[in-house]
Amino acid sequence: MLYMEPGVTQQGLGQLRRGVLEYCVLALLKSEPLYSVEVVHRLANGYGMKISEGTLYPLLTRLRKEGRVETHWQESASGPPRRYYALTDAGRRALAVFIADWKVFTESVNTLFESEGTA
Amino acid sequence: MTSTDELVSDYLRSLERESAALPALDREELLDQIRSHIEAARSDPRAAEAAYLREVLEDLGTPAEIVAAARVESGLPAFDAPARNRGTGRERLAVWLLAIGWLLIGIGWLVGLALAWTSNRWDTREKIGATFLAGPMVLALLLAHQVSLGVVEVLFFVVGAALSAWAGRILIARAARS
Repeated sequence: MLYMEPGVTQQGLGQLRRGVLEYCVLALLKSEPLYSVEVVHRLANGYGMKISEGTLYPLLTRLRKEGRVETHWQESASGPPRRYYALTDAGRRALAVFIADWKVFTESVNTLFESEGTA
Repeated sequence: MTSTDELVSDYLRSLERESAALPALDREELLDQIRSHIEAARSDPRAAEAAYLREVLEDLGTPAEIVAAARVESGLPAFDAPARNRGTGRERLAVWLLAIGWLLIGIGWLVGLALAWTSNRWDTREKIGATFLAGPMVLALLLAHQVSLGVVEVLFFVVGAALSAWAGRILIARAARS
């Protein structure tokens, strides 16, 4: 979720972003397990999606409860062990379905905006 | 305590307070995650500087922001609408009736009992607590009955009433929370 400002999530792209963010997270975990801070940094540095680190934890917790990600602890070179999040098979399937739906959806919306939305 | 310790404990205290309405397990997990996040950040030598640590906490987000996210993931509305206290009318009435309803020849108390035990906002322990809400006052009256009525007995009764009122407030708060 992009809960940058309480009011903003209720309007405009806020709700949409929130819904899509979890799939962005799943997509990041597709190639390798990451720990939470890495997820936040990749979203921000790679894709300009800034989120507060703390708001990612509840999302990861829900994804784990839903069986879309699983977690394991791994020693870190600096500091205490880190909790890594990895995509499960169920998560992989959910991601594939969403990506397919998303492509169709965004193409439809783009087409609509091109023909109707330009003032 | 150093100033960085203080920064962290203030932050965590605020998070604990803000997250009180979360389901217990979700809350525990969240607090755990945030605590280990901060702990990991503090293993960086730079974290001895208050400015650096402040930045860490800023990146983490405000406790209110984090709790808003957690509430949504737990299936609650993001923010405490005034609605939070709505729907506890039954429990409020039950508390009043169970606390002083027995003064109305028992009927009030029985109605309160029925309301309390059909509540879906109290768990069994809270229902038992509500059942014995008037206990301290009744006890004070029984004691007063043994001895002659005087200042001490009135004092007993006042203390009993205060205990009941205190327990009643807790029960109503719990009904509002769940």
